[in-house]
Amino acid sequence: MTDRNVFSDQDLSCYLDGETSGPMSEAIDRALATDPALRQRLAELKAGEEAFAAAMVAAAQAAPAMPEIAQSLPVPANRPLRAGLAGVAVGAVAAIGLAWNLWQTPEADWHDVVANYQSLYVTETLAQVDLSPAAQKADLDRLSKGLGIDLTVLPQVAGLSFKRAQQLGYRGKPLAQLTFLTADGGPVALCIIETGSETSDAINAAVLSGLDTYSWTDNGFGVLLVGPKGQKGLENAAEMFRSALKDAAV
Amino acid sequence: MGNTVGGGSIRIFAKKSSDRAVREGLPECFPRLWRFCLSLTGRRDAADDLAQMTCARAIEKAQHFEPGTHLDRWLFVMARRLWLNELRRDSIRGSAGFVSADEIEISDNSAPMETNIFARQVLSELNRLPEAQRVAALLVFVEGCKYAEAAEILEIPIGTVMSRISAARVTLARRVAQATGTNE
Repeated sequence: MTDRNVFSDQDLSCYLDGETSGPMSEAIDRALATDPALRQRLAELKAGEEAFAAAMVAAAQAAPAMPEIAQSLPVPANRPLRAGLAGVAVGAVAAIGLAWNLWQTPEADWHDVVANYQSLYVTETLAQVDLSPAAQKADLDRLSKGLGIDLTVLPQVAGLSFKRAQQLGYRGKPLAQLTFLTADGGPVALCIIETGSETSDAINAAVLSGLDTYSWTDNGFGVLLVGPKGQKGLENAAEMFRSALKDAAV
Repeated sequence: MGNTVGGGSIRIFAKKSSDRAVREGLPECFPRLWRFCLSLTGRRDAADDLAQMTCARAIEKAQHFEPGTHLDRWLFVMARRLWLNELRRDSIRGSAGFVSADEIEISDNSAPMETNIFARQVLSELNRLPEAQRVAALLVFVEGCKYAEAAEILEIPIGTVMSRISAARVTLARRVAQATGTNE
């Protein structure tokens, strides 16, 4: 029996969606011709999807009638949308929006600020930076002391070359910024600040200021990895950084 | 770049045509908008509320819609933002604390038969997946979005769409295998 594990579930999933690169797609085509176990696995993945899709077709058929608000309002657009059902909806949105503002964590703020700042970085910002390993280490040591988390434990990640570590500040608190360049010159930053927030279960992915970001919190430290939109391997890098930093608080 | 009279009237015309595009397009999109809301909320009542609120917001913001672009995707983005920013926490709190288990029981029993069948079949299928995966699965498996399009709607990186879709497929495949006894 052939080893079907040459292709990951993600490879096969991309293949089913027509999202694999040419060579990978051809390799899977070839393997399918000779590997019954692979054909079986692909059929299983397909079957799960079909059951889900069938239920969703039923869901659209079971949708309620469209609410009155959308149909009844007259076309001239200047009338404010504050009457009847729509008024109730808008009022509810406002009330809940207020509650949201009271609740909203500082995370959202610093994430936006960092991503916004990072959007000014271009390859040239970092291309000329060429510090000796000793100088890089000295910067990391200094930052680690100021922040209370040991940054020297961070691993080398394939595809990211470390350029420098700097201390920035956000609302009077030190914010560590480690910058990297990807193989094709994309600027990437890993930013860390003490937030005191609860540990997050998962790494949260979001697009901010047109950049891909991955964020999490461990031991009261908020971390944000930010890089070019569509940059491959960033999620993986985030996982590696997270597991290294987990026990690095001093 | 001076202001011209012509520029102003073009804007008014564009505003009217945006408004008309949204109003005329909404009924056709509504069942799919509601289904998208269902995949976000995982609950029928919350989907009703969210879809309704999205319609109200869409009409309010109609001048921002560009006629000729995808109204459905514009609505999906709006629904998702409303859910994340304004409704989700409230809804989760409601389901966990404010509504007692008794009340949920009563409302389920009093629902018409077809509602119960719907709840059993569709919601159980949907709730096999965590929220983030089922929304991505709906967009890719059912709405036929490319990964890049789903990433745009969900405002997440493409790599994340890829991993969520893959995780969803593995979970769904396992359930089917269990149901049909074709376990490995």
